[in-house]
Amino acid sequence: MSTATDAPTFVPPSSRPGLGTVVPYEWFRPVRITLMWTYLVGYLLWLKYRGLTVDRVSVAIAVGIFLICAFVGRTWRTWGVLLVDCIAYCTMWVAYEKTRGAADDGVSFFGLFRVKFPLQVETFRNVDRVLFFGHDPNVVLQDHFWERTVRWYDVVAGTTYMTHFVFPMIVMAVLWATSHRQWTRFIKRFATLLGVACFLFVVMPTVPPWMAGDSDWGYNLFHELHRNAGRGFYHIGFESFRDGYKLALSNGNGVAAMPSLHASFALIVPAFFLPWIRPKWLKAVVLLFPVVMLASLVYLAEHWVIDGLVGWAITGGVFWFWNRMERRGRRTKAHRARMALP
Amino acid sequence: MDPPKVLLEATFLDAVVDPEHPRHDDCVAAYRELVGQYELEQVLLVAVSDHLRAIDHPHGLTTGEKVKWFLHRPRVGLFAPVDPLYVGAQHRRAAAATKVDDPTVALTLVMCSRYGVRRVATLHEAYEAFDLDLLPLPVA
Repeated sequence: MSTATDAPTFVPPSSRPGLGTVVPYEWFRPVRITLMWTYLVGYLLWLKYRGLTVDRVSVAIAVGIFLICAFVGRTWRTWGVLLVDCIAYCTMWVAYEKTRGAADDGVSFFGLFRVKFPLQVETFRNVDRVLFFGHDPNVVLQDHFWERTVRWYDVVAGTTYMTHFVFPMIVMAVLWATSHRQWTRFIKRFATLLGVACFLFVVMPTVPPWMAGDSDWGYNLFHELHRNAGRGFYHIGFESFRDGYKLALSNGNGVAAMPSLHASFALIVPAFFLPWIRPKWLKAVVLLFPVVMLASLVYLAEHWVIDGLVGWAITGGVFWFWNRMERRGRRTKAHRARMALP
Repeated sequence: MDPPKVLLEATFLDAVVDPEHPRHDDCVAAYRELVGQYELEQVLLVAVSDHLRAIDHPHGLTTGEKVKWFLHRPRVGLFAPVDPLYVGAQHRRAAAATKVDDPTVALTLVMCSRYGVRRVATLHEAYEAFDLDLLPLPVA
């Protein structure tokens, strides 16, 4: 042991032998790494030849296969924890899908009575008009930029839009494999965001811009808007994405539009990693992603601007809440330890 | 992404809980400082589950209590901030395969290796032989 110090600092290792010289090599480690790289290659090949898996079930299967690769050779307890995590993860998505489906049907209380909330047709459109001095951002963007041919910004918008279906799930899978603590932190924020969003979907079913201008629906708030969010994405060679994309939409609910989860998911991932990003310019670049997402959503007539802003506000609130709760948890444990110390 | 882990080794845990231990005051002072760092999320405190369970329940556990502890360790008392590194059969096999004579040291080294722990708070001299950052303690 070294000499006295007031506060513990750590003695750096000198030229002492590493643990690898005494601890047997963990042969499952290279197996896991090889499997994960193989999975990545397989995923990219699938992406190229079969398309992006965007429906919940396919994504869950893809995540499951990755986790098996990442957890090969781990302890039984670790597998048990993973199983519990997976059950919670699937429950979260099923609850989300079911609740979202109730956005236009209302909520049934044990089959006795049903509470149905009024459909918001003009409310958020009017908020947008106030924010943009009497203009409809969706209409203005489409009138200025939408062309019959696909332009570069259609590719950007379509690709950004499609990342929603896989980006947060990829982050979750990687966190699952690398740090269970960080996965837990992320999933708490993510699940809370989904919960709040589902609550608002039910109490504030909202007509999105594409529906507001669609003559088939009869709202006719403005002229009909183009709705083909994926066309820019298909244009760069991912034609087979279309099937999966339609399948994903078929599980959705047209009026589950407030808040925008596209905008929220696009913010939650950069916001989660922001503390580890040091250069300010890189932070700014990373935070451009949710801005591009919201601009894409408005241009593609998927959401009102206010949908995205509320989505961001909820994401910010979720981070504030959980940061506070986690700090409080650490304080409580530290307090308990200090109380037990002599 | 996680803050660095500091492993509280069995001898350090013993010294903190035992008021008769000759290094008790030193270890308590060091632990108090570590708890402060934990509160600020500068470090994560961990211990090998076998060692922590023996401290949590010095008089032994029934099988049911062992299972309960294994599933979820109650975060109360002196070591509430400490996360257990759960020992699996593969870790015991690896510890048995080391050339280290002391089984406690062998198991701790295996857990440090598998969980990527570089910092250790210990009173055991055996760890000085390895590439680990050892927590210096005030001399009694």
